[in-house]
Amino acid sequence: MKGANREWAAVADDRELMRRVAGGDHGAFAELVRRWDGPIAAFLVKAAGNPEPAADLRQEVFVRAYRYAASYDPQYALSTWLFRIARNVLATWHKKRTRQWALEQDPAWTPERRDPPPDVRERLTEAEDRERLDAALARLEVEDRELILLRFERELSYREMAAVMDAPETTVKSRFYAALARLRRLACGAEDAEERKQVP
Amino acid sequence: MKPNEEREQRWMKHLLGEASGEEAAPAEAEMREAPEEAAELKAFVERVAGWAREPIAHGALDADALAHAVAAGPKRSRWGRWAAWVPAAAATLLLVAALSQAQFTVRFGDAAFQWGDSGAAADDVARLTEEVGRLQEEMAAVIDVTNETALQVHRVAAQNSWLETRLRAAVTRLAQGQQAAVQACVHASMAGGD
Repeated sequence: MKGANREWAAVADDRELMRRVAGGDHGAFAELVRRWDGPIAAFLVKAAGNPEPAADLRQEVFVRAYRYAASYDPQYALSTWLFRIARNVLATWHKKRTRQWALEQDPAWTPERRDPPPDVRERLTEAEDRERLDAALARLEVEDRELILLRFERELSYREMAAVMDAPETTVKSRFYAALARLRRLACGAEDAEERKQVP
Repeated sequence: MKPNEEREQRWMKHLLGEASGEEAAPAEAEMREAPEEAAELKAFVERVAGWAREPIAHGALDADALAHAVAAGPKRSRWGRWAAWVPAAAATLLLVAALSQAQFTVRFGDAAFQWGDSGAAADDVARLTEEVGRLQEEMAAVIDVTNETALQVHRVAAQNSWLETRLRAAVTRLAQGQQAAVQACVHASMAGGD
């Protein structure tokens, strides 16, 4: 088995690896999982905003990759194809979770308002900054987190991001900047302040 | 979009190195005029990028569970099972119909009955038998589709239901056709007896 792993590790080309996975080669599939489990795990945990379901979701991503290996088009990067599967798996999980959440909620429940945020220009310590960023990220739409991850972590081009998100390149680009802007407003409390102004 | 939001996006574009040559210079000038805001935005972008690139701790996937899930294959839908017995039931009905015809032939054998002599009723039986056969083929195609992908299950279910209705109607008409053929044969044998 170790010999087989070495053999697959030598196959540098993801496209060749996928061709062999599509042919039902288990050694190639194990190598695919070894190469991509880390990036897929990071994407799922951060985009879901919740580490709990990541193991199940990761497994589902690779099961789908194995089942649909024959549909992989080698003219695209494997990362594009895999992250597209990951997005679909995440979307299914998110829909189920939202439905479950909606069922569990008391109709009379309303979210607790946060304390008024400090002035935007106030100097914050690094820890506070991080805490605010985490809180803001948690409030961002899953799709917005996905865009930020694909751009910053995966360093995909907008063209590649468009293929993953199944949307036009221009839409993806403007949505990415809008996501960053919203994240910033959330992180500095500006959005909360605006919402409070609108509540009579 | 508010003017300050527009400005912020211009700056972000510049900070991420995505501003064109024409956009970069004015953005750079604006940022120099408001260094504190520019520094804060830069720190924000860096924090977000840092979050995105931050490694996360995760255990290895359970290889056995993954192998089991891969080997399990796609889940079969209950519609697939349902669709499997309908053609079987139709085939059984046809067999019963054929057997009843054989018994009929024996019983009225003395009257030298020929199916061709029954005229329109026999033609109807042949046509309906053909139609049931064709419906069986369609049903078999539906089963293939059902097995192929679970995503099409609702469409297939609707199609199954429609086919089932048609199949029931065809079988009913087949029974009626047979009854008419029996009556025609009885008349023929009675006429032969006279």
